[in-house]
Amino acid sequence: MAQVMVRLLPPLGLTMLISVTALAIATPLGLALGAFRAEARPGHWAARLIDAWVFVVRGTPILVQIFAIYFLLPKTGLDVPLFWMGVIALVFNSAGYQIEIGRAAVQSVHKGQWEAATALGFDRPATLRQFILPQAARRMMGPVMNELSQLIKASSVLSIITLFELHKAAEAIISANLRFSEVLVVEGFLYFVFIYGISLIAGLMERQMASSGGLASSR
Amino acid sequence: MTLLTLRGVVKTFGRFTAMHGVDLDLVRGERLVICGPSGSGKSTLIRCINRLEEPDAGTITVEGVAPGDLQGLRRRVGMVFQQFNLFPNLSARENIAVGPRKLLGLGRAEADARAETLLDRVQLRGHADKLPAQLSGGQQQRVAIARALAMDPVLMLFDEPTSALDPEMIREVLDVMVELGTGGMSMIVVTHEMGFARRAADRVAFMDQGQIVAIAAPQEFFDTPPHPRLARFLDNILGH
Amino acid sequence: MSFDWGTFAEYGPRMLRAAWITMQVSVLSLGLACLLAPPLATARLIGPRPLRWLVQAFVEVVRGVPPLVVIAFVYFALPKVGLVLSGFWTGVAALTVVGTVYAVEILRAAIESLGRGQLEAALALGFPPWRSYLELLLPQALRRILPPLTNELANVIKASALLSVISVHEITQVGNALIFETFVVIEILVQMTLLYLVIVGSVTVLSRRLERSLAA
Repeated sequence: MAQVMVRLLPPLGLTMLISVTALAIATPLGLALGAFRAEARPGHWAARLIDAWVFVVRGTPILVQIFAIYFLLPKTGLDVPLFWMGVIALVFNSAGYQIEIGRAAVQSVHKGQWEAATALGFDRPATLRQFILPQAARRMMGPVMNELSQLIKASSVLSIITLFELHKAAEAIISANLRFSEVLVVEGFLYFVFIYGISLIAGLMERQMASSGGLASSR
Repeated sequence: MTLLTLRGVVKTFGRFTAMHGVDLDLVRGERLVICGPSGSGKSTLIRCINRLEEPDAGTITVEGVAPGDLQGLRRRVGMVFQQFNLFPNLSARENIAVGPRKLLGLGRAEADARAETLLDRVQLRGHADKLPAQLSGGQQQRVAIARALAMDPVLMLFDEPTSALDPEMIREVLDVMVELGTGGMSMIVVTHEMGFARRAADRVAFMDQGQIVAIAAPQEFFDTPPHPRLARFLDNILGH
Repeated sequence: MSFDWGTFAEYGPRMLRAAWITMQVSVLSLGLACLLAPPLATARLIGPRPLRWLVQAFVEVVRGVPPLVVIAFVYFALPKVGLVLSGFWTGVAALTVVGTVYAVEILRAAIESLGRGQLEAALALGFPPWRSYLELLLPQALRRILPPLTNELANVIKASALLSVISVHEITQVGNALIFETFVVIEILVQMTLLYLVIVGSVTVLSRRLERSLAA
């Protein structure tokens, strides 16, 4: 088992790298687009586009989204390495969920904050930038941690487009020596430590936020 | 005719001792009111009687109930909660009838008839089909009393029955309780309603820090408090 | 690039058959999960301590690993214990494991959201704990589990796409195979997307209807 663990550590590193990279891009995107969605006029074309994106992402399997990127991106002529295709797919998916998180976070900031800023003389966009977004960002932290957990799980699906992350590596070992229980236990253990650990941290953060008025996860 | 006996009952929650070895006797038909500061163990005491809390030491005996017969105990002892705890998806009638039907084996018609009689008794005739959400706090509590009575208990326990009610509704619930008492029901009531204690109780007990510090008939209890701590408590609670 | 609508007629029947497989697998799995969840949830709530811990551990482990790992485990483990099932039923088994675990959590949250007061009122009347749960608390909890349960059905439908790795002929497997056969990429991706959106969308609409009629 120790041998298996050693062989799985580098792919585990790739799993974490791709998950964290995707999160780093998708979270600010989610906050920005979520804030926009919260503030936008209901019929606005961009708001409708964002809603459509969220609808498609939440209504289809992540594997289909990955296939879409995998098959369509080469057709545009761009030569994107597999790693970045994976990141793009994960960002596309995660942002779809984080837009809702961002929107809820912005809307959960107490109305009094807006009123105080307006009374001081700030206009709406400035208030948003200076006061609301920082608070919203803090409130998102719990759900965002949870989203990281989800991304780590989602990264395993990238094995299907042959990205050599943890699950693909485990599959490769199993097809080589057919000792599935040993490999799956180690693989499962590695995933579990991170996914469960992160969701514990997320829970802790959400409880801390709850005392100052936070929000629940949207997945 | 001792109905209820407590001997040396101890109950701790972690490091906090709620009951420090309590002794108590209640005879049939007796109406006992228990008062005291919060944390004194009053609620714990009555919750131990019907075993919602399990005592750590001591004995509690209810006449006619074999030790260890938990279901039998709960059928003979009825409880009314501060938060009413009606079943929200059942109508008033159904709340009252569910115990007799499912535990006492009464048929639907018989149980419903019993429910109607009890609704009458608590002044809620005509509200039989209403859901708890459609009733006021005072009405819900009266349904809760009827629900407990439907099991034909020999002893009724009340855990601060009016503490969660708006002031205008306290009276209607207390009136039901007074009528219950004059009708001969044995009852233990934990409450801050001193007026009720004065007019409806046979004895009043004062609990403080897990012990029954004083117990006496209402006249003596209120007019010549037998214990200094009780005197101070009454001063505080009645003074303003 | 022009969009070839003809592909809808050409490959439509195959895709629709695949959609039917997707729906069967999902509904069967969640159905089985709903049968397995109440006893497990009850054990989790009022069982003896070691049993409670065991169920909790099982729930946390299954939730804490990617679904592909669960699928792989079921795929390899079933033959080892002597159960040689078809791809379809192996897929159902795998999705049932995942679905059950989420259903148990949904049920547990619903019952706990009812608050201790209900339970105490039932106990005080004389109902033994198991009857209190079954006859008084559960009917109330059922109304609260409908929204999260339909959300879970949507999740199971999306997870069914992963069964393509064990060759279950559901939407994603068939679509992917078609893309490799015919090199028709965009149209088939669109068909796959539309099928999923329709199926998942219908589940959402259905659940809202059900919620409204239950609230009445």
